[in-house]
Amino acid sequence: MRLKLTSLFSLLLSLSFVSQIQAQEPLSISFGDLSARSIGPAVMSGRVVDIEGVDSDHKKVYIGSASGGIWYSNNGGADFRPIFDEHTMSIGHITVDQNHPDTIWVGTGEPWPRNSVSVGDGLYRSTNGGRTWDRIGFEDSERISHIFVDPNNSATVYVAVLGHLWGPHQTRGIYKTTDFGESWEQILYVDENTGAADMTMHPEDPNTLFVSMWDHRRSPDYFVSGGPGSGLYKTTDGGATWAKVTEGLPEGELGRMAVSYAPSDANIVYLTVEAEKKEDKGLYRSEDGGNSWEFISSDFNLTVRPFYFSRLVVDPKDADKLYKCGLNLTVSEDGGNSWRTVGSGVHSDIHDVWVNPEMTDMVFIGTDGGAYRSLDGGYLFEMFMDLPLSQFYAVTVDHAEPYNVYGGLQDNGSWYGPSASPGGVENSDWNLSNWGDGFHSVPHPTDPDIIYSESQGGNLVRHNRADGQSKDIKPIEEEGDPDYRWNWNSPIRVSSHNPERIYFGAQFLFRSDDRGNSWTKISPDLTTNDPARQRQKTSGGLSIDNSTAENNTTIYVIAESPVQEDMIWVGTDDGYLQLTRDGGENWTNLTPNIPDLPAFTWCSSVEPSHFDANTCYVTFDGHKQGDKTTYLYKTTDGGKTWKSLVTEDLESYAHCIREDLEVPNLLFLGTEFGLYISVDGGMSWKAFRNDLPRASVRDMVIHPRDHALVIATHGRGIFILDDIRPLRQMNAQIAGETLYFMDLGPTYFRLQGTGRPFGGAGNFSGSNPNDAAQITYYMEKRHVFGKMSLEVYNQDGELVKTLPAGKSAGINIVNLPVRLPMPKAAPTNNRMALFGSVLTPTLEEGEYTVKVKKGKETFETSIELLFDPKHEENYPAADRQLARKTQMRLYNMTNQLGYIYFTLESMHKQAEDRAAKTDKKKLKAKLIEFAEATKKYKDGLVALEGDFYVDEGSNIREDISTLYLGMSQYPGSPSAGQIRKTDEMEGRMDAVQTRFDAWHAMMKELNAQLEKQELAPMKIKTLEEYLAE
Amino acid sequence: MRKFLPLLMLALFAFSSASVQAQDAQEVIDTYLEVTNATDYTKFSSMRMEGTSTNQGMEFPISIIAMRPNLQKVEVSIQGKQFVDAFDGEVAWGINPFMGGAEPTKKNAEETEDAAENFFEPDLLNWEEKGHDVTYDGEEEVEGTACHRLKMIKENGDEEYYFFDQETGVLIMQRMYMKSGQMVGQALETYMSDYDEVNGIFVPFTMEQKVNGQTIMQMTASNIELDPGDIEKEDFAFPK
Repeated sequence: MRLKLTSLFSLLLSLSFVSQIQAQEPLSISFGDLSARSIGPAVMSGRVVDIEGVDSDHKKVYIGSASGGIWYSNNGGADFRPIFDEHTMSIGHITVDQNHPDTIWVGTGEPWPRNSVSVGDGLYRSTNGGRTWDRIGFEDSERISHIFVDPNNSATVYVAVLGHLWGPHQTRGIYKTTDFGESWEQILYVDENTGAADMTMHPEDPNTLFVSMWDHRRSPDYFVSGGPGSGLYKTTDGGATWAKVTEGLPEGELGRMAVSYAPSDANIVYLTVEAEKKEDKGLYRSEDGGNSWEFISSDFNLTVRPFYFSRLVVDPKDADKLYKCGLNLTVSEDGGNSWRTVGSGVHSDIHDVWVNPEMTDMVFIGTDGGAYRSLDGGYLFEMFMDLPLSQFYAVTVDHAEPYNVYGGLQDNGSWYGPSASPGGVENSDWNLSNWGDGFHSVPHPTDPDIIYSESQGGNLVRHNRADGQSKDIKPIEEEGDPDYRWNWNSPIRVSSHNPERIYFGAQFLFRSDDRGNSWTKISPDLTTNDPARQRQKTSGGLSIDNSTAENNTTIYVIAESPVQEDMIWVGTDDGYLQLTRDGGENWTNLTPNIPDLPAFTWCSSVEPSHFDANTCYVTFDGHKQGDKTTYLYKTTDGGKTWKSLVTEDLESYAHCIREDLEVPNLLFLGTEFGLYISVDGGMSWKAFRNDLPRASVRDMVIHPRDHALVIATHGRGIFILDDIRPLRQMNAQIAGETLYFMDLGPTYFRLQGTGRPFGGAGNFSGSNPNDAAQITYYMEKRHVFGKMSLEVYNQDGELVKTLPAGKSAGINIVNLPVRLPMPKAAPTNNRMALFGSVLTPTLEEGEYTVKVKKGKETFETSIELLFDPKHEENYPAADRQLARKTQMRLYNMTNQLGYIYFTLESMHKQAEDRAAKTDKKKLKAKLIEFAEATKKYKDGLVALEGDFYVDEGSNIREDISTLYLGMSQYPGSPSAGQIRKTDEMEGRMDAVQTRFDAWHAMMKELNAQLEKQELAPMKIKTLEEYLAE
Repeated sequence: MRKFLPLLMLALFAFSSASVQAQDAQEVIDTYLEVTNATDYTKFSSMRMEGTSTNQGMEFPISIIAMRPNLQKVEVSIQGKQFVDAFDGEVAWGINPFMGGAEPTKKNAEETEDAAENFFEPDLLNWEEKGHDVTYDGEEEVEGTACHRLKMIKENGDEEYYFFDQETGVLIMQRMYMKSGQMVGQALETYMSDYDEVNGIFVPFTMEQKVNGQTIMQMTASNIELDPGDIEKEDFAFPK
C-alpha cells in the first residue's frame, strides 16, 4: 500500500510558489473530466440564417445559425439539439439531398455579412443524417451562400461561394461537382471582388439556374455593396455556358440581388434588385422564365439593407405567394403587388423562410432573435425557446449568491441572469437591462440595483433594476469638442479601486466618479484620428448603411491595472495601444514597441496583470483587414518590449486574453474558434472543448469568490467552468505522478430549491453547478486494467461510501453525493413511503478520508463537508443538528425495521423448511404454527397491498418513511409535531423490537428442540451483519 | 493473468513508435482481441453480472443475465421494488413500478426490435461473417486518451463507432444511436474501464453511459460469471 498523505499538505502549500516560477518547458496537459456547462440563455436566442427541411419527413428540420452551429429537430420543432459542434459555428447554407435525406451538404460562413459576422471554413457533408461530417473542400472560401443538389443525380452538386468579405479572393462564384464532391470545377467566376450571393434552380430542369453575383467589400471603417462585378447570370446547360441577364433590369452598377423560381410554375421568377437609382430598387418579376423582367414594387421591406436581407421564398404550391425577408417578414399573395407585414411579436431582421412543401401553411422563419413557426400561413408565429444561440459581446459578474451574469448581445439588448437557479437556469430567469444591440453591461460593484448598459454607438444608460428606470448618461460634447466617435461596441469599465468610478471611451477616454452624471475627459484623442477612416455617414455602397457599425478611429478597450490605481491601458480599433500611469495626465502610444504587428490592427483586449503593474497581455485582431492571424503579446516592462505568446496550437484571430487571479501562469485565450488554455504562461496552449462548442469566445471573466471562469460566446450564450482550481494546480511537478490529488477546499452543502412548473419539451434549461462534493485528481494515463475504486471514510474510520473512481487521463472529478446511502428498508407498496426511504439525510459536516484504490496501490486524501456559512443565520448549527438527529432517528428506525422484516422472512422460511424435514408431529406442528405466526407478524409491519398510487395502505414501515419524507429536504429545525411524531414512532419501534426479541427467544426454544432431533437450528443475522451486507 | 505479456509488449511498442502508423481496422481489432482474449467469447453461451448501478448520486443493486443469441434481462432493485428490462427471444418486456405499476408489460414493436439487437456475442467478433462492415475512421481523443476510431455499419444498416486506446489496444468507448423513444437519433456513449479477467477474458467491470456529455448511468460489477450453469431460457420469459 502506498500512502501519499503526509507529503500532500506540504505539497499543496508549495504549489503557489511552484506555479509562480516560470516553467521552463511547455506542459502537456489533459483536461479530463473538467467540463463547461451552458446556462443559455435561449430566451432571446440569436441570429438564424438558414432553415432546411426534409421533404419526405416534415418533422425533420435543420436550423443553421450565424455563429451557433446547426440545430436539428426530428419532431417538427418540439425540441432541437446541436449536431455540428465540432466544426465552425458560422453556417451559410444547408441543403438536404431530398432523394437521399441522410445526405446533407453544409456550406459554412454566414452569407449575411454584417460587421460582426464570423467566418466559415469550407463545405461539409454528412451521409448519415448529421451524425458525422466530412469536410469536402473550399477551406478558404469563408462564405458559402447556396447549394443545390441535382434532383436527377445526387452526384451533381452546385455550390455558390460568396467568398471573402474583407479582401479580394479568387475562391468565389459557382462550383460544380459531378462525382459527389471528389472534384470541383469553377463554372462561373467574375472577379476577385464578386461572389455568388444567390442561386435558384429551375423546378423541372436542373441544368437551368440563375445566379446573382455580388460585388462587395467590408473594411473596419467602411462597407461597399455593389460594383461592376454584380449581375444576374443564367445557364441552361448545367453551367457550361452562362449569359448575363439584363433585359428589363436597371442600368448602371448593381448590388445584392435575391432570385427565386416559383416552384409550382417555372415561368415565374422573382428578383429583388439593389441598384444605383432609388426608383430602380425593388422587386422584379418575370413571366417568361427569366428572359425579361418587369418592375413590380419598391416597398421599403423589398429594398432595405440588401446585404442583410436578400432572400425571396416562393410558396411551393402558389406561384403568387412569396415571402420577402427584411427588417420584417412581408408576405405577398398577389405576385408581389401588395404586401402584408407579419407582426405577432416576431423579432425583426428576417433572414430565411422555410415553407413545408406539403402543408404550406406551416412556415418556419429565422431572425436575428431565433427561429419561429407559423401554422397559419405566416400570420401568427410561436418562438422556439430552446435555441441558445445568444451572441454575447461581453460579460461581467456580480457578488450575489448565486452570482449573476451580465452581458450584451447582438441585436438583443443587455441581459442579466443567475449562474444557478432551482431546477436549472431557465429562460424565465433572465431579465433585460437595456434594448438595442447590447455590448458591455456592468453591475455597480456595491449597489446591487445599478447596472451600466449600452446600445450601439455609445448610448450608455444607468439602469436601476429596483424600479426599471434607465437614465441616459452618454457623455455629450463640450463646447469646442469635435463630434465624439463611439465604437459600435464602446467600452465601459468600472474601476476596481473606486466603486463609484466608471470609464467610457469614444476617441477620448472619459471618467466619471458619480455614476455617469458628469464626465471628465482624461485623454487627448487616443486614436490615429485618420480622416480617411471616418466615413461612416457614406458607408454602404449603393444603399447607405449608417448604423454606427463602421464607426472607426475609436477606443475599443479600457483596462485599469488592478494593482496600480492610475495606470490605465487603452486599445483602439485602428491599432493603437496607449498607456497612462497618472490617471490620464500623460499618455504613451506603445504600438510602435510591438513586433510583427501590421499597422491599424484592431486592439481586441488588454489584460493588465493582477500581480505586477508592469506586466500586461494584449490581443489584436486583424480579420477586418483580411488577416486572420492570432496576435497575442505580453510585456513585463510596462510596454517597452513585447513578446508574442502565439504558438502553433492556435488557429484563429483572438478576441480576449485573461490572466488567472491567483496563478500567473494560467491564461485563458478566447478566439473565433473557441477557448484555449495555457498552464505554462503561454508557452503552450490547448483547445478546451469539453462540452464547449467551437464557438467564438468574445469575453471571459473569472469569478474571484467562486473560482469560476465565465465564458461569453458570440452564438452559444454563456458557458461556465465552475471550478478552475484544478487548472491552478497543474504544474511541472505533477507530470509523471501516477495519481495526484487536487485541493478544491471545503464543499458546502447546497440548499435545495423548489421545483419548476411543467413546461413540456422545448424550453431551454441550463444545468446547475454540481451539488456533490468533488474529489479531484490528475492521472497522466487512463486506467484500463484492474479494479479502481474510491472509498470514503468518516472521522471514526467507518466506510461511508464506495464509488466508481474516475479513470480518465488528465483531471478526474469524482462526485461524492453528500447524502447517506439508502437505508436497507423493508418493502412497501406505498409511493410516498418509498420516496421517504430513497431520499436520505446528508452526511455529517466534517472531514472525510478518501482512498483511491488503483490496482494494488492506494492513494489517500481528505475532503471537508461544511454547511454554507452564508445560510448560518437562517439555519443555525443547533437547528441543523436537531434536524439531522431527528432524520437519523427515522433513518435508523428504517434500517432497524428492515432488519426485523427480513429476519422474520428468513425465520418463516427456515421454520417451514424444518417443519418439512422433521417427522415429529408435535415439533412439526409447532414449527408450522411458528412459521405462520411469523409471516403474519412480518406482513403486519408493511403495506404491500394496493396500487402504489391512490389505493395504498400504511403500517409502521410507511408511517416512518412518510414522516421522514416531510422533513428530509429541510435544513432547519423540524416542527414540534414532527418531533412529537418521531418520539411516537420510536415508541412503536420499541414495541416492535420487544416483540421481535420475544420472537427471537421463541426461535431459540424451537432451535433447542431441533437440535435434539439433530436438525439444523434456524439461524439469523445480527443487525450489524445485515447492514454490512 | 496470462494476457499481461502481450499487453506489456504492446505498451512497449506504443512507446517506441510515437507516430501512429496508418491503421487498418482489422489490425486494431486483432490487437484488442489479443490483449483481451475476447475471441474466447465464442466458447460461452450465458453470462451473469451483479453489481451496483449509480444514478443521480443514488446506488441501486443491479443484476444482468444474458444468453445466446440475444436474450437478456436487467433487474434493478429500488428498496425492494423491482425494475426489469428483458427480452426473451420474442417478447421485450419490462416492469417499471413508477410508470405503470408492478405488473410486467410488453414493449411496442419498435422497442422490441431494438431489444432484439443486443447480441450475446460482441458485434466485433467475426464481424464479416455477421454481415457487418468495419472501417478505420481516424483518431479521436476520448476523455484525454488518444484512440483509434472504427466505424461499423451493421448488417441492419445501423451505424456504431468503437474507440480503442492507442496505447493499450483496449476498447474504452462505444458510440451508438438511440433508435426509439424521445431521444431517438441521439448518441449514446458507453465508456468502459476496470478490465479484469473472467474465465481468461478481460472484460470491463465498470461501464458508464452518457448522452450529450451527461452521465445517465454508471455500473460497477462486483461479480461476472460466464456460463454459470444455472441460467435457463425460462429466466428471461415474459411472466404468464
